[in-house]
Amino acid sequence: MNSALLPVSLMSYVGLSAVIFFIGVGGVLLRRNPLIILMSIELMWNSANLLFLAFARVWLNNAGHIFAFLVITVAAAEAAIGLAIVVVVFRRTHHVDVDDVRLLKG
Amino acid sequence: MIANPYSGADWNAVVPLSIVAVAALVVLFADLVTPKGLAKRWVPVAISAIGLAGAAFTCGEGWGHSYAAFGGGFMVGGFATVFQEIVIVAALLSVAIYAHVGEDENFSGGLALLLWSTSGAMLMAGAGSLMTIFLGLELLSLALYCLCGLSPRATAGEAALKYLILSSAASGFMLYGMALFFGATGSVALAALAGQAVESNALFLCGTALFLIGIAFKLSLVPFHVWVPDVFQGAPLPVTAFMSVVTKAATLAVFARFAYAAVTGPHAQAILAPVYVIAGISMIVGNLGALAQTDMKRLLAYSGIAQVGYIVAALAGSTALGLRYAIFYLAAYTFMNIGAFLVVALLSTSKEEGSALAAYRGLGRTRPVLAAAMVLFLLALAGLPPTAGFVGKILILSANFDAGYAWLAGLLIAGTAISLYVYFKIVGLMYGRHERPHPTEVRPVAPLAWAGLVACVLFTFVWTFDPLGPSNVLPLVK
Amino acid sequence: MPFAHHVMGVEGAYPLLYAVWLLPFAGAVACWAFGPQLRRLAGPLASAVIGAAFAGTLLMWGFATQSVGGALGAHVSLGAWTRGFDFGLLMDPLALIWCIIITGVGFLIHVYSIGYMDGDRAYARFFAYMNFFVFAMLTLVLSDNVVGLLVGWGLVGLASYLLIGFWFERPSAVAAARKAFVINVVGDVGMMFAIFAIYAHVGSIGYGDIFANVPALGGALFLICVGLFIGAAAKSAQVPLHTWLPDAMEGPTPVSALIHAATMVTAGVYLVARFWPLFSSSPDAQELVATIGGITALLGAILGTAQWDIKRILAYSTMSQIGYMIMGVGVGAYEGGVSHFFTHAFFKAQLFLGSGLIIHALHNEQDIRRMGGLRARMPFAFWAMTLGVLAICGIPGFSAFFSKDAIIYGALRHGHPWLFWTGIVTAGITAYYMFRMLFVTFLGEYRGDVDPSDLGIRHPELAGTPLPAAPSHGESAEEPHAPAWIMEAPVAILMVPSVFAGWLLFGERSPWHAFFAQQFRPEATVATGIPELAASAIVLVMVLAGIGIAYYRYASKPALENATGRLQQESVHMPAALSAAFYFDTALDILFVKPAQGLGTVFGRWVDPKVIDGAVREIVLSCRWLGHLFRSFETGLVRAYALIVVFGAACFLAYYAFARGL
Repeated sequence: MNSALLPVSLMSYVGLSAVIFFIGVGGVLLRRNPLIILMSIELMWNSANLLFLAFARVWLNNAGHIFAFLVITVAAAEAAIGLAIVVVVFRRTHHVDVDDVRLLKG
Repeated sequence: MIANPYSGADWNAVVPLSIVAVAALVVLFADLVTPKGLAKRWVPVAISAIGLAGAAFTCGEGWGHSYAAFGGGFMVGGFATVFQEIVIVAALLSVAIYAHVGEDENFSGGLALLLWSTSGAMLMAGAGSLMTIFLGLELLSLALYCLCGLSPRATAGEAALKYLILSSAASGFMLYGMALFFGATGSVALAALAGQAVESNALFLCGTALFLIGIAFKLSLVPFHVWVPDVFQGAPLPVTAFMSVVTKAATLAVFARFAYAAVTGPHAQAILAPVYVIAGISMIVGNLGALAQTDMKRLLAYSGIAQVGYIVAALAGSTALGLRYAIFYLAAYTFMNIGAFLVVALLSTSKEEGSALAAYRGLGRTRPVLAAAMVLFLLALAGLPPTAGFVGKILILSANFDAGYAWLAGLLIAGTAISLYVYFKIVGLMYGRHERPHPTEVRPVAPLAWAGLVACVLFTFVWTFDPLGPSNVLPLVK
Repeated sequence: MPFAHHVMGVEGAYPLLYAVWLLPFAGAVACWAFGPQLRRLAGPLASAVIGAAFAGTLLMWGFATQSVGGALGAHVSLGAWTRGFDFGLLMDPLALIWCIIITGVGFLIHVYSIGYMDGDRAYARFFAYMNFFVFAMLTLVLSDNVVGLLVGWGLVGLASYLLIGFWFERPSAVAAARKAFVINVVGDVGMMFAIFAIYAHVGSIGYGDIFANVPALGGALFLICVGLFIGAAAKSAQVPLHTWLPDAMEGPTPVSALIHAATMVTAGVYLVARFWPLFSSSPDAQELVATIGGITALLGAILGTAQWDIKRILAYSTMSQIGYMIMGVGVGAYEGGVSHFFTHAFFKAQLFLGSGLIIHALHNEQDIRRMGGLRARMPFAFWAMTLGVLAICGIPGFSAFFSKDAIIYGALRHGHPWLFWTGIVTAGITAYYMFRMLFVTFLGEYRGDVDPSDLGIRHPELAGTPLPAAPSHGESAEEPHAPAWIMEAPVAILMVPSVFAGWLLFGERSPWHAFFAQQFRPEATVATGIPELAASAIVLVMVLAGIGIAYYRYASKPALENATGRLQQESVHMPAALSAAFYFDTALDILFVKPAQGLGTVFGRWVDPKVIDGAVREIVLSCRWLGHLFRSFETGLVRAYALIVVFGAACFLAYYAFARGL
């Protein structure tokens, strides 16, 4: 890997993306508001994006960039659908808490 | 002036899944122009069926001459064709269920989503690069989130929300794994991963862990199975039937390609071992979980966890025969599982889906044909003769022994033993001395659903006698 | 494991073969499903079906005996199931000879049954079972693979079980059926192990593949042969698994004639003959088979001398004769063993059917002490029995003369002199007890009206003397009886082959000689000091001696004058060992039944409720408990699910972190 191309070392990018990823995971686990959970999932995806871009720079391969754009596009669609579903579910309960959504269990 | 980097062959490769995707658009358009009434239901169904049949046909043409399209991004022929055909058949059968029990509201929309989801699964079946895998997976999943939430019933929204959150999180894991793969090789091609399985390659190992977490989640292997019972129970019946096969088939194609082509070298089996371990655990946990269920969809969800464990177990050892047997079992599973869902569909009334176990009391007397078909499917799921399920299990057992995974075979047998109890409980309900608690309203005739049921019965039964037929023609996957 | 696929028999589409195989099944289904509608037509229908199968078998003759490029007979593929599991039907000379007996003798016995079972409450059910038996037996002999063989093997056992216990109102019939079933299960287990071992070594179930790969069996060959022979011994009533056969006489007489004389009990002979490439490659196994056969022949004959029940005499004689056959195929004289099966089927069926005429006429009386003087009353039965007895004794010119002598001399030629002498002694004893039966039954005065205790019958009700109103024959006055000829005609027809069948099989010009030469590879022979003719002469002397003793004891003037007293004397002074059938039942009782019962008591009283029952319950309960446990993870809370997923993910990551050191 050509580290000369990177003013900041690769490991910093990897470390940052890992931190963002785990923040995302923590958000999914700990937050009860579905909107925040969706945002946390976005964090997980975007930490992967960061990694793609960093590696694309290392390998001088723009496939990483393309992949990141792809992920952003898909994430947008996913967020739209997610919001729609949240609206559908919470039209019934009138307040926003995933812990109240437990008709299905067992 | 940039030369078109892709040849006609590349575009030919995506013709089948394009047909399905375009058929979805035609369905939506037709919905606008058809008058209210019966045509509102039959026109979209007919278009979908024609689209799927066309896809099956064009896909079958790619049979025999395998090639890599889009620079290895999408594979055509052989292995991919078989999985795509399985996906198409499952989609067709799901459409048959949908035609029977689909809600009038958003009828065409649901059908279109089903088709898009199918095209996503077909993309996954042929995916040769991380990018196409991700694209196919998300196309499949996003459509499914919507489908889960389409029904006006309260549980549908909940199922959709749970599926969305957990599946997106799992996709996050998988995506991060892909990013690490990209970091390890500098390429998004799956084939580039071959030879990376060395001990010092932290990026590859870490990526494998995360990638396989995503795979295991989509395959619903324990402990990544938690979403399955809730989502399967809450989703509308045709969607459940569709998910129970298509998601698994598409993901299995990705996993098989990964396991056979990307993980090579002396450590290959050690690297894949966790998947086989959880496949073994799934066989036990899935069947145990099914023991305590009172809802047919939920029960089939649990049993599906065990079934996918059997299928994945066939791949242990990455032997060519194992892959053939896994495909055979998957094909047989498609028919026996969707067959069971078809019976549920034919028992449904306009008020409720025929999924409560109580609805099966005394079915042997009130609906003898349906009950007999159900018995056949349950026998097949339990792996008893004379069904394709029996043959499939024998083949998987032999593959396991050949590959040196006797412990997996042992778990398979133990899981089967537990499952007998599960399935025979239902048979006992149907033929026991129970009175049917309430007469069910009979829906109007459902020619498509019945045709699907007949097809499922035929394949489940006939493949008992010619198990090697479908797999003999499979060219070996390199 | 790819290898060249070997098929025995010329591949082709033989519609007749399907017909022969499936017609009896169709008949069984028809009789079973439409019994109430068919009523008295069930018998003629079932007989016609078997007759058609017999005609089909004869029409198959040309195909069954064709030989093209080393492939002998006709073969039909029924389809492959999975690798190594190819199913098919094979009709070669060996199968043909069995099919001729199964359908030919079977047809006559079916016709006979129309009369014998007339008026029985379960008339249609009887014929359904009989047809089913024929189908099962045809499956056994027509299969071209060990799995089909095993299926047929099990199905004939089932049919036998159903037919022995046909009169299930009798507790003794039920007990006999159960005994036959249990002993046959022992045999089935042995055979199953052999078949598993064969498949494990060869990787195919087809006979052709197995016989072409005998060396592949390696060191397991002997054990495989032993396993197969345990199956053969149980089915063919060989020592020490023979005790079920005399008890099986509880079934209706036609059943005894068809299943327990002509066909099913000879399945063991078929098995050894069919697997000759295996047995021929294992001299130890051959020695074992031949020895057991010889012992059985001798023992059956000795026990036959001590019986009073006419059917039990015939049962022991069947056991003894099958002992001969097993000895024949054991020493390598396959031709002799198979021929003896062929001739035996005729004369033994004739003897059974003849005894059935007597039993039927005397209202289920089976004790020969209570017969006597029947020659005048039943001349047809007398001549039928006499011809049968002459045939079984091997009087020159009669059928067994050829086949039995072939076995006896075969033992000598293949280097088993002591089996040769055993066979000769057995021939003498056979002549003695068969003539004893003949004389006591037909000569002298009718003793049916003599007080049983004067004849030495201690427990009339236990001695097999049925009560006047036997449950089987609910004879009602208005029901017309079948004509007498319907029972006599089959016996009359059987007389012809039971006298002449031997001529068919022997001589250089006999076609069977050629078939057998193709079917079985000739085995090495040793030089013998005794020429074949001299051996036959020795046998004949022994037979005549046996007849002479029987004549002196039962047919001479003084013997006939005081028949009652003499029979009483003999009954009272019968050696205990003989009347207890050499304590085989007792030994089996002490060795297996008692310990099993003891264990059962122990288990029943202490262990079972707490341990076994407890364990089963524990397993079921813990499964349910685990089910509920896993269910309890499904709280419905999406965040809990996420936690489980993340926990799994952590486990995965931990594994790969360790895997760095792989």
